[in-house]
Formats: sequence, structure tokens, C-alpha cells
Amino acid sequence: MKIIHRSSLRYIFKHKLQFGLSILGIAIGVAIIAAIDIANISTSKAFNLSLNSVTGKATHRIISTSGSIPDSVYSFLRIQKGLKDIAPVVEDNITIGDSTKKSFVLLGVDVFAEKPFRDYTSSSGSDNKNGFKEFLTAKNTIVLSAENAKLLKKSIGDTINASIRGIKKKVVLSGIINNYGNPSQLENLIISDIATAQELTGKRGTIDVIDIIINENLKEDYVKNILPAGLELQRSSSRSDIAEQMLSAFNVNLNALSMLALIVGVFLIYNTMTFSVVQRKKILGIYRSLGVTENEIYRLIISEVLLIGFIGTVLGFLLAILISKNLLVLISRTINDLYFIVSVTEIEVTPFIVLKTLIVGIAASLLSALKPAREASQSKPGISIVRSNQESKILGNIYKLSVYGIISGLLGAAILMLPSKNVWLSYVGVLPVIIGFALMSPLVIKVSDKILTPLSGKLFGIAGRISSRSIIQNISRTNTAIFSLSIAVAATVGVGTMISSFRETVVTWLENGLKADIYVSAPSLISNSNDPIIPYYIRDSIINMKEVRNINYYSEFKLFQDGKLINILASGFTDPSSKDFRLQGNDDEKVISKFQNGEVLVTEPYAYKNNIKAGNVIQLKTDEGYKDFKVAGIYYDYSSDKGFVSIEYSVFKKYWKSNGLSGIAVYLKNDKDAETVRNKISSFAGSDVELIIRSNKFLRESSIQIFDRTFIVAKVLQLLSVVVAFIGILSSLMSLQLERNKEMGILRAVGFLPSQLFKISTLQSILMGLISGLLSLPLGALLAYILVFIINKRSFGWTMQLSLEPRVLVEAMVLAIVAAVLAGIYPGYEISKISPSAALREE
Amino acid sequence: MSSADTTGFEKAVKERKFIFPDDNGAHPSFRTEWWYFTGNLSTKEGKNFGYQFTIFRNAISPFKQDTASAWRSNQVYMGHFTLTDIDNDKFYFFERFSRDGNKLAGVEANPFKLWLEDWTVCETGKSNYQFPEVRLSAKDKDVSVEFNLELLKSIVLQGENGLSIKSNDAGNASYYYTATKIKTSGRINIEGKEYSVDGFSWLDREWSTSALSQNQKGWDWFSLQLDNNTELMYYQLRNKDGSIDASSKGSIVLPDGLKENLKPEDVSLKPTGEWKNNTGKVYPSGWKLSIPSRNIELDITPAVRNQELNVSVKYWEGSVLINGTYAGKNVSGRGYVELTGYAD
Repeated sequence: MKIIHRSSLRYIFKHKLQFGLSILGIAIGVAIIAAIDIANISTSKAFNLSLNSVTGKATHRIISTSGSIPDSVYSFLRIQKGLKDIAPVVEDNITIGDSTKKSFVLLGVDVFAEKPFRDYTSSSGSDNKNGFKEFLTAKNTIVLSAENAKLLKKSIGDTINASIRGIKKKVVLSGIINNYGNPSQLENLIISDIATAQELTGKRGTIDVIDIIINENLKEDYVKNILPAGLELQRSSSRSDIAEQMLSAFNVNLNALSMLALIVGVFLIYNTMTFSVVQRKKILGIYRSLGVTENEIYRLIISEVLLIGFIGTVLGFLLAILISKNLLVLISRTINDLYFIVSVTEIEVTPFIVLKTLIVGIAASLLSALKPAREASQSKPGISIVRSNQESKILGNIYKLSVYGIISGLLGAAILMLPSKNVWLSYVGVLPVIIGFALMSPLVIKVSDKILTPLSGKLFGIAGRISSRSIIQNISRTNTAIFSLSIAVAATVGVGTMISSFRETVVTWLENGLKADIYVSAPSLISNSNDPIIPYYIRDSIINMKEVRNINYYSEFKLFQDGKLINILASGFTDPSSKDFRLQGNDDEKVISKFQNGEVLVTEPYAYKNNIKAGNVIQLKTDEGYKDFKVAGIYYDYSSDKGFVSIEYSVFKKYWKSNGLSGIAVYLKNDKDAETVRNKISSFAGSDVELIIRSNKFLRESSIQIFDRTFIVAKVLQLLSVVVAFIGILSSLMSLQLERNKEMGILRAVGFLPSQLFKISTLQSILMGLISGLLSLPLGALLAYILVFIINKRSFGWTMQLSLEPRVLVEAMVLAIVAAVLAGIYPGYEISKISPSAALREE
Repeated sequence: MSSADTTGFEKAVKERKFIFPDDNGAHPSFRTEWWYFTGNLSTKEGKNFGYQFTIFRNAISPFKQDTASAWRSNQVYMGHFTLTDIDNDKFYFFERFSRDGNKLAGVEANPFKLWLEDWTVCETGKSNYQFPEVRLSAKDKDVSVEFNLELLKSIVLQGENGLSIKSNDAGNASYYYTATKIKTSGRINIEGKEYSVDGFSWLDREWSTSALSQNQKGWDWFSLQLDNNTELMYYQLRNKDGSIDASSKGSIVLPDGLKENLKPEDVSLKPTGEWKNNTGKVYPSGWKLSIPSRNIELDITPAVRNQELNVSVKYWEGSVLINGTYAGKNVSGRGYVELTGYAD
């Protein structure tokens, strides 16, 4: 090992705490990114695995464009058309369990058709002599994997509480599947006979899917030709494509948020390395005069950073595995709330994630070290390096740096304003904006000094003056600390504001949209998906009630069209004035009349993602083939990032067959009591039809609840960024303290008491926190603006109202100051302990 | 199929009155039932074929749950369909299962309709006998058949007026009737090649809840159609100790349709050869069947040696050729033999 490397290691060991903090900072930054990756990949892997076990060996599946397939279609294909490799499937979401509850996909199958498809269904009766008999002939019998039976603490013959579409049921465990391949394949599944599944889900006379194997004996075209109208043949794999489509925006957004934490981490390394270089100016100068070349010094610093980066990244990765378990719970809950049922217990670490994390962690470390390494290599040979040179260099360049800052900011703005819908590009644009702010911070410090020094002096006397003034005097160190903290705080302001803006927008939207007195809907496990199962007679009975003024009614269904999923919302109203669309533009009446004449409305996310404008034509696959629909207008909607195409009910009925309604909004006459009407509706619905009848207040509250749950992940990330920021400020102040040993020694020597030194140090921390806080406010607001109007728009396609809450800003200031103070306590304590002689002996 | 619980099912314990066409349909209060068609056919050019088409009904439980789902079912149908291409020494066999739910399988007595998915036997017209004229059609992979079937003789009630006792235990019996001579004509298609065929089929109808007793191993069952317009049915039940069960029995149907019962002591049945399947299990292959009291001596030879159905329950069921003497006169004929319990 070369002597300079040894010296470098010695330096690192001597400054364990500082480097340790750096490592911790990069570790947390990396951990967040990797944990999000692990959670996303684990989720998608689990989903695909369970999808594969559901799909089995089916190459294709027959689905109905409008949701359900009559039983008779299956018999027709099997008997009249002689198709052999087909299997009927009834599929739904179900939650079962007594003390431990778990969500599953209920897979209702016909075992006699299963052989070519799913090998595990034949073992449905294992562990029970009468298993097969009970499975086939007894009601409510289900089969679980051995792992799930164990998890739910159930054995053969046990009755288990279940809930399907909000309806409480009891199921009986009639069979357990032991030792089937990879247990996580059945992780998500409950298997039942197809009749049992129909009975449990209330799907009378219909099945959901017909699985089919297409091969050289059975050609795709042949099957397409014999399918009755309204049915479509699609590849089995298109299911996971569709799931990916559904989740892509969600995943991109999570990834993007995790980047913010890394950016904070990068500044942390930058901070540490800058300090380490500044501190070693003298020794580096000695190296140079001993003949060490510029290049060697450059490489020295880079290799130090590589070491830190590597250790940090590896630690970060281990940390990621720890936190991803918890993150997984949050993420899969959100997916279950918003998209589909997935149960993830296994953490999936792929080589890709390992590689990506390594690259990201090390690249980020290198990036942050480029400038300090260059500065180090430019150390002048010679032993007496005047430190104040460093300070005066920055002070002299304040205006130049500010101009660079403005240029960098403008560059960022230019990137952000590019007419693109790429989410990643918008993140690329954020970086120059942040750098721009960093470059402006010396100016802010200088201005603050002009104001704060006299103020602090007035309030705290000489100690106040010293603590304030030394910020600008040590600007080469304090600057980095201040802007690192401010970026971290700004990130939290940005994310916090984004969340509150989003929430505010949704609340307003719900308040405007949910005007009816009572909402009738069909139970569904996924909160934002509604299958149309309310029979029409319920609607007709509601219309005829004397208490009812008018109603709006909906059928929601998923249209599968050429491998893509389109959400269709058919809506009808008895009184057009009660329409609950909030339309873009001002000619509501005209748009609504077009809508009633057969044109469609699309939601904002749909329009954004598909480049649709009012007046465009979209093609939809109806039961009679493809039909063109003109878009009358665009309306605001925050319930689905995929968006909806909304069709007037009578138009919808003309082109698609429908089994019923998804929801009914009931407007009452002025003096009528909602509770009475509610009871009446549930009484005439009888016990056959399970309905959820809610007041608008309740519906609003439960919607908000789901919204809040969705954003827990974002909040966790925000919190982690704060942790990184805290580590940043701690490490900056530590460095600063080490730097100022001598200065403090002099102060002690001229008679300052340890308590006064502590006061100076703490006060300085407070002031730095204050400056950081002030600096973070405009940057935070800017980040919030970018997140709300650019990044979220690009991810989800919806317009939100920016609501910059004073509370968020105050919190940011408090956060900055508290973080600074907390981080300043230990260095302050160390400073107060300084022995003057020891500190001064150095010279 | 025989191991499940029999509680709740009706049993064949005493003679009953058969009512047609109702009894051609299902008897769901019994656990097991079958419609068993076998036949030997030839083209004008003399190309010979044999076929088996059997639909088994098996009740999983005695009662069906009341339900809104059309799929709910307690009846499982199993179908076996085989074709023996004698000249090419080939044997094709197929098996399928279905529940009766959602109309995927079932049987209706009047008009007669028996189906398991697209394997069907449908009434095409009334006949002078108890079983109507039907059209049988079955297709799987590269093999399909379409036959018109028309009874030439009245059905016969086997055993004691249709009660066929299989062992000494009470209720180990079935209700059993047979159409021994059914004129058959139609088409056979093998791998795209079509043959126009004529010949005779045999139909066994049997329903029961329990048949074999604990110590019985299997049976050898013969349905022989002789060219002197006489048909002979004989089955011997084999005990696990190798002996022949006393409940073995048979019948002869004379040209005028009259049936005479055969007891095991009337019949001598001696294997003349054996055949090993791919797992090394040995089946008898070829027999000498003699009924000394009637001066009948028949040599029975499998038309193709390998006619084993390698399905969920393995058994041998195949077309046989018959040569011999009947009351001093030379006879020949064709028939079917079923051998169970050899491959376990």
C-alpha cells in the first residue's frame, strides 16, 4: 500500500464519526431506493406467480367484453363446438379467517375440465377421505394450501368466517393441498368447486373466464370465429400486461419519490468529502511538495469516496432488505385498495436490483466527490496554506456563483417545460433546479449575515455576534451544511405539499361530486372497483319511491380491447341537472346534451394518457364490433389513474349487454329523511341482493380514509428523507467543530467560559437551521409545484390544486431548526470541553 | 369407484318391475349405472372393426343440494370410447369425465338422449322393442364414429327377472338388462379416412349400488354373437383366492328371442393363451368355452391382442372372433370380452 493511501486510511479512521455519518447517509439513501425496488418487484413477482397458478397451462382465455359469460356459452363450446381443452372459471376476491384474516383470490373450477390446465386442483381432496365428495357436492366448501391452512390455524372440517364483496359468509375447509411445488404459487388462492364459487359470489348463471389451450390442433382464428358476440379471445399473458399497465404509474411514482432521498444522500457525501478535502488542504499541500502528482491526489480522493460509497451501498442494501418487509405491507395494501388483490410475503431480491443498487449508490457517491476531488488535486504545493484563502475565494465569487445558480435553475426549468409526458425527464429537470439553489446559498448566507449578525448581537451580546459572524467567516464549510439541510427540508416540504394538495383536491372533488343523499352500491373487496350486480328492479323501485326526487345510476365495467383495459362507466340520470360530472370548460349544458345524444365523456387522466381532446373520436369494442364514439368533453375524476370513458346509459345498453348496475345515487325530496329511505331500500332488496347503502358523508369519509392509507408510503419516504437530512446537518456541524478547535481554543484562552462556548455553538446551530429553513421554503414550494403540476400530472394525468399550507412551511422551519439544534448539541458539548492549551499547542 | 360410502343409496335387493322407456333413463338413487354399447362391424370390402362406447353414471352422494348454480351436481359421468382397427392391429381408446351440471352430461328417457359433452346417443325413432332407434356419435382426436342402431330382438332381463346377484352378500346385486342383437350401420373415421360399416351391436344396461364383495377380484365377461342368430352372455366372477365365484352366470338368447339362464356349473371356460401389458401384468388371451349340456364348444380369440384401456381404472375390453360348434354344427361369430382386475 502506498504511503498516501495509508495516510488516507489513517485520516478516515481518525474521523470515524464523520465518515460513519456519511456512510450512514448514503446507506439510508440507497436503502430507500432499493427497498422500493424490492417491494415493487416482490409485489409484481407475487402477483405474476399467483396469476400463473391461476392461469395454469392455459395459453388463452375467453372473456366477455362486458364482464361475465353465461353458463350456456361454456356448454355450447364444449358440446356443440366440441372444444375439449377449455375450462370454466369463476374468480373473485375473498377474505377469510377468524383471528387472522387474509385476502385471497377465490378460484371456482370444474375439476373434470381441469386436467389440462391446473395440476393442483386435482389434489383438492387430499388429506380428507371424503374430500372430493364434499368439495363437489357440499355447499361452501373450499380448499387451501397447507401453508395457508396453517397460517389461519384451520384444519379439515373447520368452519371459517369469510367475506365476499362485503357479504359475510361461512366456508368449510374440505381439503388441504400438501407439498405442491412452490408453496407461494398457492399463497393467494382458495379453490372451490365452480358451483360453490357461483353460490358464494352470487354470480348466478355466469362464469368469468373460459380458459383455453390454443395449439396446432385448435387454431386461434377458428376459436375467434365460433365465439358468440361479446366474447373475446385473449392471450393469458395479457393479464399480467394489464396488471402492469395498472401499476405502472404507481410504481414510477414510488421510484421517483425514492430518488429524492438519494439526492439528499448525495449532498451528504458531497458535504463530507468537501470537508475532508478542506481540512486536509495543508497535508495535501505537503504531499504535493513531496512530489505527489495532481492526478494521484485526485485518484486518492476518488478512491476514498469509492470506499465510502461501497460500504454505504452494501449497508444500504442490507438495510433495504430489512425495511422492504414493512414497506411491502404498505405497498400491497395500497395495491389491494386501488388495483387488485395481491398477497406478498416473500421478499424477492433479483440480481438486477443488486446491480442497480450498487451502480446507483456508487455513481451517486462518485458524482458528489467530483468537485471536492478536483479541488484537492489543485492544492498548491507548500506547507503554509492560508485557510482564509478558501473563504475569501467563495465570498469573492458569491455573485458569480449566484449567476451560475440562476443559469442552472433556468436550465432545469427549460427541461421541465419540454412538452413531454415522461416522468423521468421531469426528475432530470429537478436536479439542475436543486443545484441552482445550492449555488445561490452563499448569497443567502451573506444577506442573512447582514441582518442576523446585528440582531443576534443585540439579543445575545458578544456570543451572539460571534456565532452569527463565524457562519460567514467559515462559509466554505457552513455553506455546504446549510444547503444540504435546506435541500432535505425542501424535499419534505415538496412531498408534504404534494400530498396535502392532492388530498385537498380530492376532498373538494368529493364534496362537489357527492351531492346525492344516499349511495347504493354493490359490495366489492377492491374499494375503487365496482362490478355491476345490482339488479335493475332495485333502480326502478327506488325511482318509484315517493320520497325520491331523482336518481343517477351507473354501471362500471372493464372493457378488454386488443390487450388493453378500458374502464367504462355507463351513467344515466333521471334529471340532467343533477349530473355529477365536473366538466372542463364552461359549456356544461352543451356537452351534457351531446352526451345524451350518444357522444362520450372521458376523465382527465384518460384524456391525458391517450392524447384525447374534446371532438376526437375513440373506438370501442361493443358487442356488435368496433364502434366510433365522439368525445363530447373531459371531466375531472380522481378515482382511477387509468381513467374512464363515460357513456350515457341508454347508449350503453344499445351496444353492450349488462347484468345490472354498479351504483345508484339517490336524491331525496327536501323534507325526506335519509334513514327511512335507506331502510326501505334495504327491505325491498331483500336477502337475495346484498347492497351497501351509505350516506354521502360516510362515503366521503371512507374515500378519504383510503386516500390517506394510499399516501402512507409517501409519508414514510418523506420521513426517511428527514432522517438523512438530520444526519447531514449532524455531520456538517461535527466537521465544523473539528475545524474550529483552534478558534475555540483562543476564545477559551481569552476568557470565555465553557458554557459560553456551548452557547455560541448552539446559537450558531440555530442560526444555521434558520437560514436553511428560510432557504428551503422557496425551494420546497418550487419542488411542490413541480411535483403537483408536472410530475403527478405526468404520472397520473390529473390536475390538482396547489395548496401550500402555512402549517407545512412552519413545520419546515421548525424541522430545520430542531434538526440543527439537535445535531449541534454533541459538537457544542465537545467544543465546551476544549482545553485551550491543547487546542493551541498545534502551532 | 367402489370404495365410497353407500349409505343413503338404494340397493338392488329384490326383483322389480321394469318399465320402458323410463328404465332406459337414469336411476340416480343407485350409485352406479351404465349404458354399455359394444359392437363388431365390417365394410363391404371386408375390413373389420370393433367398438366400445360406454357411459358410466356415478353418484358422488345420494342427494343433490338445492342451489341456484346450474353447476352444482352429485352425478359424475365417465365415458369410455374405443375403436379396434382389426386389420391394422390398432386399438384406440379415450376416456372423459364430466359432471351432469350445466347440462354437460346426462340422460333423458323419453325421447331417449344420453350424452357426455359431445359424445351422444340420441333417439331417432321408435322401435318395436323397448329401446328406441338411436344415433350414436363419438369423436376424440383423430377417431370418430356415427352409427344408427336398431334393435333386432327384444331386450332380455338378465339374472332373475333382471336382478343380477353378484355375491352372497345381500344387496351386492344389480338390475341388468341387455339388447343382444342391434343392427348397426354408419361411418367410422380414422385419421381422416372414412369407412362405411355394417354389423351388430350389443347393449348392456346395469345399475347398482354395490356389486363386488370384499373377496372378489374382478370378472371375465363375454358377449358373443353367433352366426346362427344365437347370442351368449357369460361372466365369471373371480375370487381373490383364484376360485370362481358361485354367483357367476350367463344366458343364451335363442333366435326367437327366448332367454335361457346359464349357471357356472354349466360352463367350462379355459384360457388358451396370455398377454402381458406394458407393466408386465398378465391377462388371459384366448379361451375355450364349452357348454357340454348343450353341446357347444367355442374357440374365442382376441381380434387384436392389445385392447387394454389404459385409463383411470385399467381393464381389457376388446373385440373377439369366435369359431366352434353349436349342437354339432359349425358356427362362427364375433363378440366382446371384458377382463377386469388383472392390472391392479
